[in-house]
Amino acid sequence: MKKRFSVTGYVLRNIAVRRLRNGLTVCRLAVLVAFFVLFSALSEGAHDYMVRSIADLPKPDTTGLIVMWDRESDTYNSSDLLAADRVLQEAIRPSGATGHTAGLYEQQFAMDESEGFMGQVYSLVGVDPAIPGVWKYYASEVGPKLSSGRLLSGAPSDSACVVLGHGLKDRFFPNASVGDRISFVPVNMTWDVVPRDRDANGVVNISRIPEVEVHGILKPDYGTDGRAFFPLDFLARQFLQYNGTTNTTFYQQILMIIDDASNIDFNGLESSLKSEFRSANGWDSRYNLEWSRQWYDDSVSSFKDMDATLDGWLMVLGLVGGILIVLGTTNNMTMSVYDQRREIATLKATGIDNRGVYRLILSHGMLLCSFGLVAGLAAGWGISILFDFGYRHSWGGMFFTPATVDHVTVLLALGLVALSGALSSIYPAYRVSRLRPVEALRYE
Amino acid sequence: MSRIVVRNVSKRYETGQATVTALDAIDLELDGTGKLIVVAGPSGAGKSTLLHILGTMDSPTCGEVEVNGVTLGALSEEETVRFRKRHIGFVFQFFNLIPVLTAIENVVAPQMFDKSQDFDRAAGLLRRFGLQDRLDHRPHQLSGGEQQRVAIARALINDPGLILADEPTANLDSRNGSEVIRTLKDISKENRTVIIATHNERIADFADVILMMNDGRFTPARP
Repeated sequence: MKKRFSVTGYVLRNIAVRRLRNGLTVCRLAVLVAFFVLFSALSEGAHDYMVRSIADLPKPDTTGLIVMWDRESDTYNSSDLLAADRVLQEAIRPSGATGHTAGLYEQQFAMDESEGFMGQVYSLVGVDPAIPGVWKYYASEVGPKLSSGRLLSGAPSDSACVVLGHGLKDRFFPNASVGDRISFVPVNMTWDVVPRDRDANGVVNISRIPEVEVHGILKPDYGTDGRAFFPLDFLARQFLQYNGTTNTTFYQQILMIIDDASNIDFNGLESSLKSEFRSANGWDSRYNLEWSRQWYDDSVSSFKDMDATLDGWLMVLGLVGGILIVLGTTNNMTMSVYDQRREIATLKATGIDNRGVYRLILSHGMLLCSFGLVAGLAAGWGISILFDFGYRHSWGGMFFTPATVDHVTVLLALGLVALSGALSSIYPAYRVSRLRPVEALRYE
Repeated sequence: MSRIVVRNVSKRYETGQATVTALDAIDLELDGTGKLIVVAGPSGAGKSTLLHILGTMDSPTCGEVEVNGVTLGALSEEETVRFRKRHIGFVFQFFNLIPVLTAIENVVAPQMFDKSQDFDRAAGLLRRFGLQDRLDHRPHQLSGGEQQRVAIARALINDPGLILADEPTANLDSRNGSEVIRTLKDISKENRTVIIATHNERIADFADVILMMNDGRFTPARP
């Protein structure tokens, strides 16, 4: 007869004899493991979501932008443009970056007197094809938004024409189409940029702008909805920003754009410009790289803080779960050992040593934990899949979140349960190993 | 062979404020090889205590015990367990079979952590005791006499020289009790020493040696 005594089989049969108590212990273990797996999966899902979000964050912008306006002498002229460009080019030459200087002419107005600038602001923008920076902006930003008609070409024939932003057209010229001539006269607008454009009542009459032909209409777009684009000279003439004697156009703003400002002394450039144009009161200098990098870093840091918080909570949950597992299983094991003490005493009387007794108790604890682990993993995994499915199919608003069960979670649960199983077996095994068989047998 | 020497052995228990003397400075020297030795006496005479001390399950308060030249008190805990496993077999009053194991598994249970278990020997022992049809039965499926025979087979699995049986018939009817005693008698003839503690004086009929005990001391055997 060839047969092998199965210690595991013996322990399993003992577990089966006390199936209610052991079953409840396994259920408790399973619930804790399932919670651990679910929370870990949610944490991992959130982590993946954060990683994706970080990857999707706009990368730090290297564009540099300087705008000067509100000069005491009211406007800048062509000489100012050249001077500003000279300072810019000197500043960026060592880095090999490219930069453009442009003069802007832009009138802003509100819908009516009562709203002022608290309401929707509309702009009349002068576009000059002779100024590369402005033209580049116009061509690259406005061009793709053309819905019908054509853009301003800069040809001499383009004098009294306009390209209308979608919102502005809808508000004031709902029936206008390409080729129509429209007049701004009936539109009651309040101008509020250049003080001398106002009349005695502080209102500038739009009748300065004669009839213009609609060359193009733009698609709906947040950046261009409230704008109407005119040839610069035409617009400047209407607002007395053009000196016919000297053939000079005056600009409200000077704009400088640097494609890649990451390797230039931006503060030095600012200082040089402020020194050159002491009378400029309005400054808007944005070195986007710095703030966008800061914003990027802050965003990444927030994500990582959130991730670390979730990991911290996972650790706390693991610790609390581990303690509960140890306490619950120790309680069960202690009771089981008490129930089996006569059997164990008999085994000791027949020559089983303390190591064997430890093995029996440890096997009992580890088997209970294994059942709990398997059931808990299955439940936790299943619920995690449900959560992930619910998230992907937009069930229940914010309730369902991404969940990912990875091998680390499984290993962590395995480690947690193995450690808890071992710890919960130590005390009962110690107690029973101290048991003197003669005392347990005398009890009968 | 089993040569047993007991020198001035006492065993006292503290129970609250009272001290109970289970063995009172007893001496014994005998070569029990091939003999059935009956330790008889009333309850509380110290029979079970003597068996427990001889079987290394308990230690004397004072005195010395030698079995086959080995001084039991000089053994470490680990050595004691090994000695017990190798040289001593126990038969208990309540059989002490493990309920979740079959008869044959109960017999090999003392070897459960050994590299190999002698199932052939276990089966042979059970067959010898007329339990060839009960190998895979659980204890609750066996009669009292059958359970005690399984317990005897378990005591013999490691082929020990000394079998200690504490009231082995107390829980059996007279027919089964006699059968168990006959079995133990047969075993003793295989160069083993079988010591039975009992208050059943009828067992004395089977004994090669009778040791009478009372109040923790040996008393002269009645003729």
